Amino acid sequence: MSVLRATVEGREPLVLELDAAGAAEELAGWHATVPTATLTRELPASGDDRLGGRRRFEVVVDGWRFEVLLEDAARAALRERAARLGAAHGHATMQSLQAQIPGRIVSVDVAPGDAVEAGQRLLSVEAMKMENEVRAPRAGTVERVAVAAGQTVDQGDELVVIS
Amino acid sequence: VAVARGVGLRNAATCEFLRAPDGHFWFLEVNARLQVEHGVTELVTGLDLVHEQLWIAAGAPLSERVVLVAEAATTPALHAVEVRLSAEDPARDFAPVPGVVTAWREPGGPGIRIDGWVETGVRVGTDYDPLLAKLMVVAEDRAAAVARLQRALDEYEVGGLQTTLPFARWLVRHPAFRAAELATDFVTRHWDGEAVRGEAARRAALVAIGAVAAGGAFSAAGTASGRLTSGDGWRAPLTPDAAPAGDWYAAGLREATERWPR
Repeated sequence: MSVLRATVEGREPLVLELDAAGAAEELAGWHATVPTATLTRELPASGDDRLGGRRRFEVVVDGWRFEVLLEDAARAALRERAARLGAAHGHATMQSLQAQIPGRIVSVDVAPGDAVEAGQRLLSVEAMKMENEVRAPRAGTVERVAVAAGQTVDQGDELVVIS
Repeated sequence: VAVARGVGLRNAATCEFLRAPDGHFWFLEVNARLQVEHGVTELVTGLDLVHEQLWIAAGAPLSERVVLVAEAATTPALHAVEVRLSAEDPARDFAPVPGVVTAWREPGGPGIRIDGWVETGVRVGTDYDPLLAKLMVVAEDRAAAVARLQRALDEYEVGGLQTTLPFARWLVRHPAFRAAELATDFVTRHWDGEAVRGEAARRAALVAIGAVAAGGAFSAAGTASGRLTSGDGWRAPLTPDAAPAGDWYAAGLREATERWPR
């Protein structure tokens, strides 16, 4: 039986590799105490995901909503090795920060070329009557700032790119 | 009633008091309007407060019903609790989470009241505050009301966006909440959203692996969407991705989603 890799997305993604029998065995243990773990639907896959044989599901456990990415574990390992080789050959590692919620940009605190530390405030977005700060996930240099104060953004819009 | 007479107010109002540990009551404020918790008063007293307001506005004297309730207010026969269900992420400091509700099932049964506006397909936007529903329960005393609340919260099913449901489920089971040992710093002292969420994440992974395995080979074409409750196999799917073949479902869903402009 093939081993699947499940990646539960979140601030700290959880990765679990198991075959169906292993998952069933552990779930049976939960069953008595926790009745509310529901796979509610399959989410639309991106082109990249479809090509890579990955599927995305929404699972609701005790009211928590998770997006779980499923792929064949062996295939995932191959893909990671390829990515590592690519990085070793000098591809730059850029990280694009996207808007988590739609809203209006209140302020932009950095400019292209600025060096930033992990956790440093980059900009703030106002949504649902609240101001949300966007902070740098790691240290680096601001490569690009895609928004200006006063502008409205949609979920998924690029805000800042760090290299 | 005496407070309202004192200031010449002819309307519904909320008078707030704090009870000190020594048993003394301290006056806080008067809100000359219905409040977000007015449903709790309605459940405990059996009154329809909006109805009573309309009578007063029409010039009628304070009704016999209200006077009787006011006289008995210090010895309530029932206990009610309200939970506000919001589109907020309890693992990220209750940050608002807009999105489209893809599944929505509410609890029911005796002693349950829900004031809400959500159904499957609605979009929760960013223009208003993220309140989705007010769940209220009523029972003969606090212990019974809290037990009923726990059951009602477990019956809620929401898909598509994160809600405060996991926080409410955790809270209603917390020993300090059960013992009514409450203070304004309760959340900062006791709530670790990231930890509670992390525990559930592992089960999410297991369910996904188990469901796809139960639905056939991983690479098989088609959707493995549906509902899998740990251990007991597939149930009737509820979501558009795996809608039943009949037209009635698609038609109903279209109506629900198209009524709410994107």
